[in-house]
Amino acid sequence: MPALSRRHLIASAAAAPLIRTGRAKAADTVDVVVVGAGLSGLNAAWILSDAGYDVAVLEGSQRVGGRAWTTREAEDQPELGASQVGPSYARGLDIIQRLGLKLIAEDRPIMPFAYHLGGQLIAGKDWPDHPLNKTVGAERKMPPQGLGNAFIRRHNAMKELDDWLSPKLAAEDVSVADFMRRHGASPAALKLAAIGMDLHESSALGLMQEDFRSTFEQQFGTLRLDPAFEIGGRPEVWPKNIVGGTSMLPEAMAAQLGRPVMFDKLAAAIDMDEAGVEVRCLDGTSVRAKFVVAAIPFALLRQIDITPRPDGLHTAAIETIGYRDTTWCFVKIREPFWQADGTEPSFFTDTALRTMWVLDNHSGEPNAPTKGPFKAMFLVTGRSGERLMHLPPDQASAFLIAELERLRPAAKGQVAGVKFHSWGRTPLQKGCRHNFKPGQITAFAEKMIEPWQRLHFCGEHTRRLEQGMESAFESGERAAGEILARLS
Amino acid sequence: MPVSRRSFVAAASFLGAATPLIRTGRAKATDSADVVVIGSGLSGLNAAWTLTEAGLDVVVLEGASRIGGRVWTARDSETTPELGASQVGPSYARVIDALGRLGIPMVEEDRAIMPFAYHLGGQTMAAKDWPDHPLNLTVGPERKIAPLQLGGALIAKFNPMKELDDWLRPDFAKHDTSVEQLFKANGVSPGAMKIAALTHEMRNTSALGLMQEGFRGAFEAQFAGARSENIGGALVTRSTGEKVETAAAVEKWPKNMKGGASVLPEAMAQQLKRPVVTNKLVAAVHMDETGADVRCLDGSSVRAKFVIAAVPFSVLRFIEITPGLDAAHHEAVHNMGYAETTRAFCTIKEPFWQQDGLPPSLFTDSALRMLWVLDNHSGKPNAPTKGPFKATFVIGWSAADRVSQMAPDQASKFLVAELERIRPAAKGQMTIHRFHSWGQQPLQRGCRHSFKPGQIAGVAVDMIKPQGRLHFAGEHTRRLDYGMESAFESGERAAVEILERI
Repeated sequence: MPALSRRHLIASAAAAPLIRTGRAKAADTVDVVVVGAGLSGLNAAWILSDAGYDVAVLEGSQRVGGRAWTTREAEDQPELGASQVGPSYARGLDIIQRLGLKLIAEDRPIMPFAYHLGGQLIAGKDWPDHPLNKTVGAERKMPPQGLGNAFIRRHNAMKELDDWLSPKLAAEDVSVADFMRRHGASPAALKLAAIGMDLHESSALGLMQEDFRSTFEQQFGTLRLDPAFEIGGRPEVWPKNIVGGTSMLPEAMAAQLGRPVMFDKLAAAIDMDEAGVEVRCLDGTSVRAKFVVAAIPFALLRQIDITPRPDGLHTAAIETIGYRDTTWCFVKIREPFWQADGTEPSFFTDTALRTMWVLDNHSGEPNAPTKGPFKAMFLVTGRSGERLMHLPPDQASAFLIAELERLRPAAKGQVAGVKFHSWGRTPLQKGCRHNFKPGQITAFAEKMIEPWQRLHFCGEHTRRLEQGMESAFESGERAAGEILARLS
Repeated sequence: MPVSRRSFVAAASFLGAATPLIRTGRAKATDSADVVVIGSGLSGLNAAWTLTEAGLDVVVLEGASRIGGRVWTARDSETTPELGASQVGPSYARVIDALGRLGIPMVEEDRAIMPFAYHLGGQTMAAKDWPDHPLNLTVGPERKIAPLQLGGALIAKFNPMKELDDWLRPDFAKHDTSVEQLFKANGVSPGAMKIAALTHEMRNTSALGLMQEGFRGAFEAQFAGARSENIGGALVTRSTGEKVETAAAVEKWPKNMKGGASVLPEAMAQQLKRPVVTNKLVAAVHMDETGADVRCLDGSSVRAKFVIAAVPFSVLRFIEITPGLDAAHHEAVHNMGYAETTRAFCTIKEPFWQQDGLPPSLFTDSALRMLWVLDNHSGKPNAPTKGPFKATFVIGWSAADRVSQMAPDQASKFLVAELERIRPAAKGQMTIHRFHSWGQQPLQRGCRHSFKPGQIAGVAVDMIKPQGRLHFAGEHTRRLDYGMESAFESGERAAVEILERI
């Protein structure tokens, strides 16, 4: 089969009707079906394709990339999902190089934080000694928005990247609330930490894995000096972004496959027997294969009928693993309102708004590379983000801006919405990331990634050592390796 | 001061038109009341009405722009379909009493579902062919049960309940298993399990929870029989002296409300001293020694002595509650299962079943799952209505979750296309007027609570007890009843709990 150019792929996608029902085709037959065209599914498909196998990738939406999504239709093309490439992303860097994509140093410095807590606007520098700061001892100097993570970092029990899967650390697989109490957190610290994360539904051990991996990343960063990624002779700056937007990466990966990704194909059922597997789609079509890779979040896999039913452990993982939501509202700022109210630009609050990140446009620096309008984003996490989902996107954007104006009157009329995006409300994601609940790592994290008969699993939620985009590649590579071992 | 319904409705529609949906930027002084009720579904309204009649000052906060919760007559749709609850049964004592007091007449339900064709394993067949069909892999007596009824019939067969509250007894904990475990333990054939899985979520639903529903339904059926035999229409004459039912001697149940089910919550809201505050999304409930603050997403708040959470746990889990809930309440609020129903309401141009010779309604293992065609009585003499045939696509559980991955327009097209694929005679005959997914409603997140295996034994008894100043109402906290009656039952209980404390 001739290699398809990317232009080809995009053209064929545009021509396909939205729903192709009513034309039940004879079942297509391939070696492997991959359900989901995110980074993990595409990496699995690419590896299997490179090994000479016939791979069909079924994607439920009309785009590839999953949680890598550059919104090209919005002003400034905000990244809705993954965008950072770290210095230790060995697979990611290799793939980017092979595909001829370019990296640039990320330019997203978040300006300092003020706080609006208990009804008062508090300058960040005043927080440690502020009368509303009821935390105790060392907690007083921790920024309120990072209190939970500061406890995780300070008391992280991990010594190796895969420790979190070891039974030795089962005692850490408790709620963040219990973990913080165990390490002497004050009631005030617990209350502040609860603003940004769900303390009861998140496993401390799961957060430790994330924290330990990113600490590792920081050490690694100082070591790496690959001339291929040098920028103008300056020292390396990490993380980096992909020139043209993160979506370039999954699109270029999809163009490497022997068969174009099939869009608008919502998988409804996976039926396995002794000879193979049939993946049936909602539109009545089906594809038969020897093996299938589920490269979608468990939040979605739980909607697909799997026969025979997975064993109890897989079922527990698929049905009950937690997911968290992030809601973003990207905005631009006309005039720097923080110069009017004299507090730091970014801020964190216990109202429904939660967090606003203002990005530096370098206008205060000599020889500044850009001096356009300031950009900012509201970042709403935890249950507050879920509540915002009760409002349609337009109303939610208007609400966030009105709330900002209520809390900081100087912002009045200075902020305009650009793009609102809730990962939890995106039907083919249902969350921004998996989030082990207390006890779930001990109960099923190790075994849940093992194949169930002819069904293999990949995706960030099946990661072992990595984080971010690299964990998607890690898991896709593992699933492809498992299948290659069975095919040969 | 009593407010007439007309003035209330006028005020409500004025508010709806003139008030911006989000009233932020105007942080008000804290309002106060004796009791705040969160949610203006039937349970919240019944609690608020009961407390108001006892002389308390009650504020009802509603997140949506309409009241009624899962009672919703879609007046903006051509056929004004009922999206949620609409049936009143003969044993719905509280509902029937409320209808009498509010002067709302009932009419007999006219929603006869026509017989079913089946499309299973890629083959279309009539119900009568099922018992001997080669695709029927069920065994023994299972073979004669229609596929649509099989799951429910088997659960009924194994139901050990003798009294309405048996399901809460500790010795019934052994029945609080998954449907699959129940069926396996009772030797149900693999063929029957597969058919039952089309109508029931087999692994994540407590069989005991379904038994409560089934037993209450069987009780209802007996009750109706006794009634129509003895007294007929007279029994529904309430103590107020107002005659609710005017039909002839033999009662037919269930009944609907004249004007649509939404008339009921609207009339209940009119009985309250303060109008329901709509578009008020609650963000947090903070309790202390002297009272509770209910903070809304728009920065306003109401202080009260007590609070009733009359919203589903699938929604309450997004409200911050301090001090935190105890373990049983936390498990119930955060992890209780919810079932989903997606419906698409249509009219049919020409009766396509006369072309393909099959029964009109359809049950299938495809993602379409069910089409209910309603009889328009055109084949009967003196038929009351002869308009176009109406029909409803009814999709539950995982099939509904899959369809709801599409935008409503896309999903509607998909359902029609899927029906046309399965029954070509339907080509061009279906018009969908309204698509509705309860799971996609942000303030419902499901059509009904559905205990997961072990949750009844684990938390069902304790989860309805007050937590500090917070009381719980809603169908999910029912004890003996079901349907609309269970909303009334729970609202009444929560109101009484508070009256005893004040």
